[in-house]
Amino acid sequence: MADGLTHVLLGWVAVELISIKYPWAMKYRALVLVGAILPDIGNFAVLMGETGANELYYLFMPLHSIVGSLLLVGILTMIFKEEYRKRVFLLLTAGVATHLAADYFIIFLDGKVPLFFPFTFQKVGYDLFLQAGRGFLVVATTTAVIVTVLRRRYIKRKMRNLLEE
Amino acid sequence: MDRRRYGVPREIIVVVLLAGLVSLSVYAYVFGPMESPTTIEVLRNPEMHEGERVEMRGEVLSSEVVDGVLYMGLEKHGRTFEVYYEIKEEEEEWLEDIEEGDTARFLGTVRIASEGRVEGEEMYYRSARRQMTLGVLSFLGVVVIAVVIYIDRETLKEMIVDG
Repeated sequence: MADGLTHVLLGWVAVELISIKYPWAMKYRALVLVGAILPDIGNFAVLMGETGANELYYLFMPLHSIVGSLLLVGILTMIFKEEYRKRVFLLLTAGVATHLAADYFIIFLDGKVPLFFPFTFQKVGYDLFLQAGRGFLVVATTTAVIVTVLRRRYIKRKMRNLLEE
Repeated sequence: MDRRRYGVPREIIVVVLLAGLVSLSVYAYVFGPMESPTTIEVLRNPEMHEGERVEMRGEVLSSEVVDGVLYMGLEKHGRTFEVYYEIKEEEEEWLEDIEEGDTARFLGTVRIASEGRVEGEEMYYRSARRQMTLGVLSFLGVVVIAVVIYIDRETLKEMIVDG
């Protein structure tokens, strides 16, 4: 897994990009950010020591798969009122998607992501960034800053054009 | 009771989804490969046989790189393994600075069973320093989310089901 801050920054990038087409998404940005760290909620198991974390490995392993993470997103969506559920589901899913995509490029101690579980136990990934290395964090921060600035400029220009019309 | 358009109560949907998630965990536990958690498997099968493929995670006792080959002592629950691993070009940068106390995951074939000598095919390691960095950065991530939730609390409160 990438670190939490990198996941949050990539979630932020997703919010900015989604809100270009769907401006209402910015109002619910917290959902994308929560989705971006959702597959890692099992990390608190490290507080139980290495043996405890090992024993709980299978409990949380499905959260790094598409099926498992969507089930969790579905459960969380039910906390919200019916009229918001579709948006909540889509935004949480967008966050989770950034998480799984980010983890795909991490060099893992435990060997990649079980993305297609339960259809296969095979883990997939592309060794690009070292876990907890600075590389991915720098890329995520730079992308977040650039996307935020460009989106704001785009919105400003759009508003100006609308006023001129 | 909150019902969806087709009349299924919210509680039922939650139970079904939860059951699905738990089923996945049970399925992974029962049918999952021995890949992880490897330490448990090593403890369950302490006897290694020549030619056998093993996968284990342990604490680095010592490490040395000579001519692109990593010689490492790996300790797990009092058992010591001698690990030989030919470093791939792209791995040089982070395998050469392995320190005592780091965690290493190792996949390889047992060459001499009696001495616990293992020749590697894949190698991963996590340094104590990097684990600390990971913890701090993850904490910062949670702080950022907490701040955003606090700022948007009124919007979120309005969206959540009463009771």
